[in-house]
Amino acid sequence: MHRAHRLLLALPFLFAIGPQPLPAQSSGRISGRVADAKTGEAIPGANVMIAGTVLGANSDPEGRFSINSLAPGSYDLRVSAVGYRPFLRRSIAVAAGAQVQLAVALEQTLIETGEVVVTASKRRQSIEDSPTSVGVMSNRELEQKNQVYLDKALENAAGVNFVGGQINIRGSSGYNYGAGSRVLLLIDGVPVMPGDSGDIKWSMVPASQVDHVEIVKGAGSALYGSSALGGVVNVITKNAAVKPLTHMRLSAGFYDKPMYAEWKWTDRLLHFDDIDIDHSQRIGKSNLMLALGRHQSTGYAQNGWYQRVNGLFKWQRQLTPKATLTLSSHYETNNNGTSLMWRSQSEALSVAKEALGDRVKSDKFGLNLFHRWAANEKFALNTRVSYFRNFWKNYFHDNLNASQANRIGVELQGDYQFSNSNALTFGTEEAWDIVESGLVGNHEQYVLSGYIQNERKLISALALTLGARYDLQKVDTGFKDENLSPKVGLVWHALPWMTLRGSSGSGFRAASMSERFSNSVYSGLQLVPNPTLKSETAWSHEIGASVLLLPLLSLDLSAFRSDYYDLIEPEPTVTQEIRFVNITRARISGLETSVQLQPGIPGLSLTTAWTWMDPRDLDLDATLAYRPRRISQTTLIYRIGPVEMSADYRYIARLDQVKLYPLEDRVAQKTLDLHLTWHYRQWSLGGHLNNARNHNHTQMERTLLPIRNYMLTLSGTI
Amino acid sequence: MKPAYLLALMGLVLFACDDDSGIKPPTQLSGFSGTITFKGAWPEDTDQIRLAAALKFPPSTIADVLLGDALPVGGDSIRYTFYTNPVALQAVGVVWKEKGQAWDATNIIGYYFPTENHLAPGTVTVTRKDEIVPNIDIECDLTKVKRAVNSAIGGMLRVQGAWPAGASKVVVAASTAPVLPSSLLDLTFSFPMDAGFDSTRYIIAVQPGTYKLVAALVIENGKSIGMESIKGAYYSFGGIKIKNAETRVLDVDLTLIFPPGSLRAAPADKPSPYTKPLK
Repeated sequence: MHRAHRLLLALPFLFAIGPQPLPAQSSGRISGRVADAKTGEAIPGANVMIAGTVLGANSDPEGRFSINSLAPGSYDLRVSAVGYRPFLRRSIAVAAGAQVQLAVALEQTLIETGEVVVTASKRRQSIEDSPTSVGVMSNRELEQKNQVYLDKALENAAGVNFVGGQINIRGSSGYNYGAGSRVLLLIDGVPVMPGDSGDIKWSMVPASQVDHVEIVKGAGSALYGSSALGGVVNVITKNAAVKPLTHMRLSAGFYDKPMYAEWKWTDRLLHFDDIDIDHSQRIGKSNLMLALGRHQSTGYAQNGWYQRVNGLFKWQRQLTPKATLTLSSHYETNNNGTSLMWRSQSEALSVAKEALGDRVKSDKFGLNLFHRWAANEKFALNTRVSYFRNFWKNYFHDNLNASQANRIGVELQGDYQFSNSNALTFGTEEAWDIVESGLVGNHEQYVLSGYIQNERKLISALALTLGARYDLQKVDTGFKDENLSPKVGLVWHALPWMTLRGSSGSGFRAASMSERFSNSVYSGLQLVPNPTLKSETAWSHEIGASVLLLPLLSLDLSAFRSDYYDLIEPEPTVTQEIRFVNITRARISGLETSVQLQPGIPGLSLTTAWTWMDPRDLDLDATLAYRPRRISQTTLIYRIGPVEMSADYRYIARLDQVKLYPLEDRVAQKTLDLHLTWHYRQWSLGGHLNNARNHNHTQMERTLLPIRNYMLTLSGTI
Repeated sequence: MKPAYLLALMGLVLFACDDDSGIKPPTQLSGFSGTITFKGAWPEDTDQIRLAAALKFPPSTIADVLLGDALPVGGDSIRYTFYTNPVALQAVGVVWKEKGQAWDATNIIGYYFPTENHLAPGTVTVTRKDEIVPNIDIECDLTKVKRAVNSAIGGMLRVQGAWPAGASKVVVAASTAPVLPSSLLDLTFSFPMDAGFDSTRYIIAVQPGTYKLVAALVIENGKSIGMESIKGAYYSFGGIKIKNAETRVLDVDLTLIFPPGSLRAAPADKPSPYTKPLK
């Protein structure tokens, strides 16, 4: 595993080729400010694209943007932000050495349309040009949901549900005891999956530090490799501002009494509070952002307490007119009790007496370096270097264990825009995992990948995407695996108001070290290793249509099907052991629809999404465990002057199959959250009632989800 | 009515209503009850005992077993009630846990036997939400506890002929009984294996002792275990001696012979056509 040295040796070379200055007089610049057309307030995080080039930018917290290195000529500029109608300015003339200053005023819309996304194709593109389904959750939506952590906010995204903290996109993951995920989590485009467990730690980046989240559904392995078998979630953090800007969010709340007196386990008031502050400003030629957060809760269930501290640091600098460098780091320290299973259904908020002192302490640290060099309008080279460390130590009554996983990654990505109708994305990626763990032993893993994707307009309204990725994985045990993940996609803008899309792609996921080597106790269950686990593979297909009838409604329909081979699933044995095995064949097929409706009452909008699935274990001719057959989410928003009222309702059908306690009661999940927010200048005061109807349900056996809780939030900018 | 008022009113109505269609504490109690008696001295390394009810016997996964709460240790007898939703159980027993070891739902020290036939476990059926089935009495033999060991009996399990349509699982059992086992407590089982193989290796973790009989049992879909399940056997008059907790005898090969026809065993007074000749 001396390849890491090779990677590190390569870095100076990579940066040397990056910031090559060109004569300043040869290029021009478009800069400006993006603001709300009605209020004049800055719109942060707006996506600014120069059509037919690789150039673009995001507006900072003050709404400002700047695109440099433009050769003299005429350009089309497109600006989009979630919640606003896209802005298009054609034929902007840029002269050599000149700066074009623009004031971009975006009109609010309750119907989302035309967002620019960066995850589906690893480059900026309008969401309508993506051949796969992409969901976007904006900062405004995150604030409206007022959830501290992203997993709670993402529960409202179409086709998404959680089981025991594990994200499922269209039923992909099921539940596997935190030992791996079929959804890849990226923070600012960098994978942050711990090398030992390979699952997602949602508390790493609090929602208040996030600009927006992109959710790519279906196999994403053709660009992202292993773990993206069921989809990709890319968390885009806030950018630093030029002017000093401080944003804060304070919230506190408490849990209601349990619905049933038998469940009461304490006379104390069970409460939680959160503080998040971020500050950004320009120092010299650099933009800096520092965010800190502290989050604590007594928990609603016995031993469900936690104390967390988060930090996020971002430093951005324009090295030359063509080169930008971003250094970012995120850190979290977490101390929490564990309440994995209830004592009994009669004491559903209590844990077994012997587990009362069980707790886990963990630290996560990520450091990312991102360098972008736009040689000209046609070609850009992106370099990402990342380090991620995950450490945890548990103090359980039946086991003491600790694990440390380090991951180093390097990615080189080239974007070449041949013309307005032909774009090429290609790159290589190397990742090196080093794990020292009482859970999985000491192991090293190396992954080398290469990918290429071409998007070409066959005619003006029809675009074809072809791509493939090759991955080579080596584990120190001698295990070696190679995978080729091809993909094809078509987008047809059939009518001005209708786009049809279709995609088909292969994906794979290498077994995580936890799945392969775990040898420990988890909630009284013994995890046993299975070093012979094969990688799982899948073919995913999707056809979809999006219809946009402004200003009334937007509608998206998809039919999807994923055929899995050697699907890795946990198999509990009679000796209370859990071992991961390859299920030979499985299939998840279904339909998904999402509708945004503005029914004609000013300020009122309705968003609803429905997903129907048929998750089958084809070997056993049975429903796959921990996958619901139906999910729906509905959000109703009413804005009147400075007041915004909203309601989120989630329905998740009763699970047909579970692995451990199939005889015990299971019910559908029916959660209603109510929000009332008053906006005054840069400040917002919100009252929130989560699980308003106090519906008691579980996502996995013997774990009750949060009962009704009340929360007050104050957020604003200084 | 203005939309704002309407929404506020709707919110208030929703707020006023709790949704009690979710998980709730059990109000009607159903299950079964009885007395557990203990024979022999309590081993010092006893950590816990629990009642276990099997949806399928022998169980293949933990989902086939309902484990009760820990029962008091050290007495001669216990009155118990085991609460469960209506269910048909193929076996009910008491499992023993050794100090420092994980739960093993096959470490059974007593079964519910409603008749004198102790080679097939008694079934228990709870039919209604308010029914407690009485008199599910269990006698435990504390000399039958199984400690964590490395010792094992194993070998090849081969199949001759075509698998009958009803075959579901195969387990291999070893018996310490002097002649033929008279109770399931005399048997130690392997993990159940899916039927359908041509040959496979089996292994049974066994306690030190002398084992006279090793037998393969074929279990039909939806049925429990019994003497009629024995389809292939290896008798050893001298006995397979497992001297200590490290002894492993791994050459005890068995053959399952399936003639054309059903799964039904031969009458007891005739030699079984499925049984390998005595060694």
